[in-house]
Amino acid sequence: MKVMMMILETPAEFEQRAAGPAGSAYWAGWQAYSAAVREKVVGGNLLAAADAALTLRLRGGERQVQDGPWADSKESLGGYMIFEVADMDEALALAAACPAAATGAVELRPILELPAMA
Amino acid sequence: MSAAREVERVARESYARLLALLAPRAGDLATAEDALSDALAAALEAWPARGVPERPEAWLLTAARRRAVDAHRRGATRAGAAGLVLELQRAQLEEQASSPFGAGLPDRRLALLLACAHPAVPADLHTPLMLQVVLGVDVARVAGALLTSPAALAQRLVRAKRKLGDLGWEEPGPDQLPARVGPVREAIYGAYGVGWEDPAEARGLAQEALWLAGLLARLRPGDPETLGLYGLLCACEARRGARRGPDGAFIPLEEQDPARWDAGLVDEAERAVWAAGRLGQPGPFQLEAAIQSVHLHRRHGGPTDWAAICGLYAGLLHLQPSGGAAVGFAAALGQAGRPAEGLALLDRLQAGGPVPAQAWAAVRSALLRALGRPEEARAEALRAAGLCGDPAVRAWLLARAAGGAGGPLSPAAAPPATPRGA
Repeated sequence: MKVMMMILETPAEFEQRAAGPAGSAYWAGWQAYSAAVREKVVGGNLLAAADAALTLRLRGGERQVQDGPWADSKESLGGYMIFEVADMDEALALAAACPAAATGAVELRPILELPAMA
Repeated sequence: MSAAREVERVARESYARLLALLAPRAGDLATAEDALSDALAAALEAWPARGVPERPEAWLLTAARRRAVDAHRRGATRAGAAGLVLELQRAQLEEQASSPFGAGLPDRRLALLLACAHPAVPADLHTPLMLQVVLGVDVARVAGALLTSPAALAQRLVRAKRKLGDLGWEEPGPDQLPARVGPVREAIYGAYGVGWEDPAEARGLAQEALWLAGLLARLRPGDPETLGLYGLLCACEARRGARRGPDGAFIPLEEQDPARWDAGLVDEAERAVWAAGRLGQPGPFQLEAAIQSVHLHRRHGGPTDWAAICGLYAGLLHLQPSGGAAVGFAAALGQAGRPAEGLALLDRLQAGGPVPAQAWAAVRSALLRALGRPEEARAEALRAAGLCGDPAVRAWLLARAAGGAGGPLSPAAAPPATPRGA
């Protein structure tokens, strides 16, 4: 099964990320983690910090555009990984070593396989 | 001591005994647990206002029995419920007539421990069942420690308890006891293993497992492997405070200050190992305890006797091969000046059997470093860091991957109490 790991990071981590890779414990942790789980990863990306987000809603024919993410919370989505695993317990075991688990949170969701459209 | 703390103390010390007394008469464990938790809630309300009763456990037992009777009255749909209510009322009368918690009270805690490791229950449920039933640990916490879904675990536990209820929480005869105590030890060891990694939690699952091991050792004083298990857990737990520096940084075993080890637990560990040894029947838990005991000798000054540790690991692997023990042996070989043998052992392991991946990579890194292969050592340290969920240990491994100074990596970087396969 494919499982998406949403990586929820704190503002402090976004700051460390912005400071750049040189000698940073933040980047070293991520580099080590992604190398260690590489064989189980089938996709993923880093996302820009939430202040770069634009959120759009259509309400009664009117477009509402908001600067920032859809939900205002302490942690925000900093990236995601897609794992190919046997079950959710295996995904949990992979997520347990993720640096963000100790500071922010990671959310795991099975990816639904839709039947091909005719 | 405040009334609330007294409730907590009684719950901690007597939960298992109270449950053991309630369960057979309540008919099923879920009813007994509910009744006991209601009684504890009632105590939290009543004791601060009216004072702690003279016999807190008897108070709780009476309250819980009353609630169990009420529960059966309310839900008297199942067959035989009326009979059960009568039985519970009779038990309550008996309890009032005689002196509760007198010297003659049968200790049913062992029976409860044995029931949790019943062969009819899947082996991977023994540990969570024991934590929940005997110690009353919340399912969510057990699921977190085992890295599984709380809802799914709760469902499996309910099914297991129903099955045990159908079996009547049967008590094994004396001839069956030795065969049944083994799974109990494994389950306690497993509980300690899941609690090992969290150094911050003052009252983690590790302490609870240690308490269970002590209880089992008191109930089975002539059983060398049970004493071995207790000694092993005491030795590991003794070092808990010394595994972190004041800044929270990870400190590997051979760099720990023995003055920061818990002297009482070290003494207890050595007493248990000694008592087990006198019985003259070596076994895996005793050997693991003996390995820890050699490490603890450093508190008398002098270096660690790595040759002795290698000998003990060789014996352990002979008696009971496991990935965790083999990784420990490889690390000890490196410390004893035999890193090439250690590396060969690790590389053989990779092919088969479940191996703790993080410890494997960390030890391999240390061995490669000792063999003068720094580039490979760095890559392996990076791999270990990437598999590590503990930020302090990860930082320590990353420092090594960056080529930082430091002593040789020891088995302490891996938990000595890594639960063995199956």
